[in-house]
Amino acid sequence: MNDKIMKIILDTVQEYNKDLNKNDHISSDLDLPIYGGQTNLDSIGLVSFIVSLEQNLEDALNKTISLADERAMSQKNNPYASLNSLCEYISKILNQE
Amino acid sequence: MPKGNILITGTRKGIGNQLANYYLKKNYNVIGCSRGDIDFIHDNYFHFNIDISNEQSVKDMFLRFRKKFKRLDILINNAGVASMNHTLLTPMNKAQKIINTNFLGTFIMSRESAKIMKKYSFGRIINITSVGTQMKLEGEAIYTASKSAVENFTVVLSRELADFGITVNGIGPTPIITDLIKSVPKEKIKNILSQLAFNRFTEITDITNVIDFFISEQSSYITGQVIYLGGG
Repeated sequence: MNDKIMKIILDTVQEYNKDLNKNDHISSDLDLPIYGGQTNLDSIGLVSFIVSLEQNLEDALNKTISLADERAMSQKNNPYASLNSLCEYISKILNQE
Repeated sequence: MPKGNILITGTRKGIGNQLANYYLKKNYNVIGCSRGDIDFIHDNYFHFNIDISNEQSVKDMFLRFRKKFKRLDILINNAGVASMNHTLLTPMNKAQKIINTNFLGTFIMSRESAKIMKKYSFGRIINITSVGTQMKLEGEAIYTASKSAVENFTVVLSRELADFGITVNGIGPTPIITDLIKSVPKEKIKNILSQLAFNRFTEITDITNVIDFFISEQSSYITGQVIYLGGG
């Protein structure tokens, strides 16, 4: 399942980067931060990426999912810290349902 | 070829029903929703039977919507409930129902719609509010509070969605003859109408006139506005 989720994440990264300058790209390095600090993603970019990812997951898995729910906000380790942590977080949500 | 996809909440009766028929005649694909079945059929009309204040139902509807229609051009948040009551005689569950449908329903529908609209960098969200927010009428405290919330939401949402090419506007009709006002005493209605510049009920064409303006492609610079009818 994690492989499938990671593929959807990477496809969404590619889709997000498609029309942007390289300076605005999300890195496809699985362990690099995707938001904040030295990254290229601003807050609107993060909103946009998360919404696209949520829709791509829903379409692929044929079920609804909320990536920005209270669980995300209450995580000790930020689920948006890297693509790997995002994948783990999504997997955890899906297992809890 | 239909002009686009327009989603209208509360199409079973009243304003929503009339808007559905109007935009079907204007060659839109109309997708409607309500808590009950509808009594009309049209090749370009598709119905979802849902309660808009139930988040999971709304999310399920949008999952199906995306698969079937892909794109959403216009959302009209019309569904609403009203209740005339003195605040001291308003039960908590009634107040919750009004807030849930009128405000939270508008929030959830707008949130999910904007997620689809964003993909095409185009969208028009129209929120039906009420002239009651301006008239401060006794007996409508909870109803007008819910609509005031919708109006503030309209303005803030318009700022949040501007980056995605989505405009958000509101329209505040005066009383219109629908089931929503059937329980309002005649004297009360007469009193409301007497305070307007034009002392008459809203007609559906008054509403479609403003919506047509908001949804026009030329209105891409019109956002965060609420237009009240009748000089209210």
